[in-house]
Amino acid sequence: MKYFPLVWAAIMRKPTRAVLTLLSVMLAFTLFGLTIGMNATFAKFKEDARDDRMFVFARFSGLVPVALERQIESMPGVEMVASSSGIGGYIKDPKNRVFVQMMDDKVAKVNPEYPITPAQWQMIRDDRMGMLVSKMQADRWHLKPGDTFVIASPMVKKLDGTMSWTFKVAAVTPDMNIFGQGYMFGNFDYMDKARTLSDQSKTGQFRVKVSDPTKTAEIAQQIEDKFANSATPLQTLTEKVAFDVTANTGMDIAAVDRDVALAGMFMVLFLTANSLAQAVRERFAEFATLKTIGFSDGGVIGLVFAEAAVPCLLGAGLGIGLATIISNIIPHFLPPGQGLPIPTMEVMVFVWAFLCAALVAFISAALPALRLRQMDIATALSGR
Amino acid sequence: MSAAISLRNVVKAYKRGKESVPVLHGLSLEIPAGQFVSLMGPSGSGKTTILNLVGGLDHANSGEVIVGGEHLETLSGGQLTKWRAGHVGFIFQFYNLMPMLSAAGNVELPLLLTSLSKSERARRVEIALEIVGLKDRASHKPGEMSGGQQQRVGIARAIVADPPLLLCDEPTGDLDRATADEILSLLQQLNRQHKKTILMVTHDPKAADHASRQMETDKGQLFERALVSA
Repeated sequence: MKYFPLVWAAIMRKPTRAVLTLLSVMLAFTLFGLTIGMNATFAKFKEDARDDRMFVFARFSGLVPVALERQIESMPGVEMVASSSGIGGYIKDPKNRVFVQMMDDKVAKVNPEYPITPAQWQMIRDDRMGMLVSKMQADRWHLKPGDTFVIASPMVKKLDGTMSWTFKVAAVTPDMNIFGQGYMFGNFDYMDKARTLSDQSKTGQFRVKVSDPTKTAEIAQQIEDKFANSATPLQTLTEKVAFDVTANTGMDIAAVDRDVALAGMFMVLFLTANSLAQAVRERFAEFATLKTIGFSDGGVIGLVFAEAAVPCLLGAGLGIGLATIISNIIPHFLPPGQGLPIPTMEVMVFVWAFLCAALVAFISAALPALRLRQMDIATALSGR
Repeated sequence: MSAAISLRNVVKAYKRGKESVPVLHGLSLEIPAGQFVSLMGPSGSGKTTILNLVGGLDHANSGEVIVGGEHLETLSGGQLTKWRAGHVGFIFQFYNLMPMLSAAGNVELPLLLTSLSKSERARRVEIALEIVGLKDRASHKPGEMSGGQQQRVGIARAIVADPPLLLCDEPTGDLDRATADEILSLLQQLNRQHKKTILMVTHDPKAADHASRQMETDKGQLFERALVSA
């Protein structure tokens, strides 16, 4: 600790350079935190996804007749089928985008892991305009149980020709990882009966639960085959695949994330290595003086490593802090309930960031340190 | 009086590419403890080389360099570093202060290598600055001080760990006459009152006159000069 003023004085010798280096490191670690945090989210999605469920929807876009629900439910191995559809729109102003998932009665059974009590599900069954709002969304729109509000949905027209969907907050429920921006759940029947006749008795998707998780893929294929030549060909997507971003997109997004984070680290490495090399070069005679008055090779090298470590570790801390703030803010600007991934700033993200910061500091300081170790004091003092 | 510095048949040559440039040819020198010795001579005559050898900053090609009873030629780089920290204070022509540290911070540097407490370090820094007459400038940075004041800080840094030997390389080379005289008087005071052995390299005959013994190097050999004043 007694050497810290010496290290700090060296760093602050060129304040502009120090601040710009710190800002660059901070921004690189913000990017690092967000990308690695995103990978943590993808991993969590994959981990939470269940083997015994799948989504079924129209192969060529559009809605699916609700009548198919019974046909799918009657297939061997299918335990239960639920319907859900969505109302996308806005509250008061088009920039206040929201998305309500309209759930039928059976969603509670197909997705029993949702942190919603039977009494809360019952609330939106009893009141067709009732809505379950997650805490994040309730906070964002300042909603509380009993509040009534209107969502304008240009995409989902009503039978009366308007696009105004009135909802009443039945309960505020806990948030879920899978809905990083929070969620709004409404009553499917309310939507179905209130919209234009051409869209009634149709749903956006089915949620299918099978009795044997090992047969999910087989049953999914059977469903697709069964309706392949119907008026509404269906497509299935197992929950494992749906929530596995790699399988879902055909791209190894996690690897792309890692590459972006790595590119950021290389940028920081070149930047800090260059700054440090320049700083050491400028102060070569000062280091020679320190060695003359008794600082050992190890002591001088330690100072250089500390000089590299301070901006790296401080920048990493600030960058990860900023990434945490951003990942907390993002959900408030995205419509709810669509499962858009939000970076998860778990402990391992912090650990990785600090390990990388330490490694960058070490590599940055290695060459200048080697040069100082090989320094001939007499020559350096003479300025030759 | 025992010898503080003893050089015996010291040979030193520098490599310049493939060429070897001899600087000292079997040089011998005895400086008893408590002497203030000035070393003069033309450029390239080996003055700074002698200073570097005595200060353990460089090794002789052959011969013995004994300082404070220690055979420096037998010490490794790390041992020399430790030895320097406790036995030698260096005073440079261009002060070699850390520009971002205050005068007190600069003077404290050699004490950071000791196990002294922060308060004890501060006390010793204060004493050193008081000796050089800069107690009231402790918080000033080198850029805020005159050349003479900066050299006083350099001297305070050299004496703060209380080494028995001070090595001065052109300590007044960058100062005007009046300031140079003040610095030389301070060195005399350190020699007389604090019993420091001083070896000072200088080009300036007037500066050399402040020493109790004057020597001159020429072509790798060492000669005593007639003492003008002390």
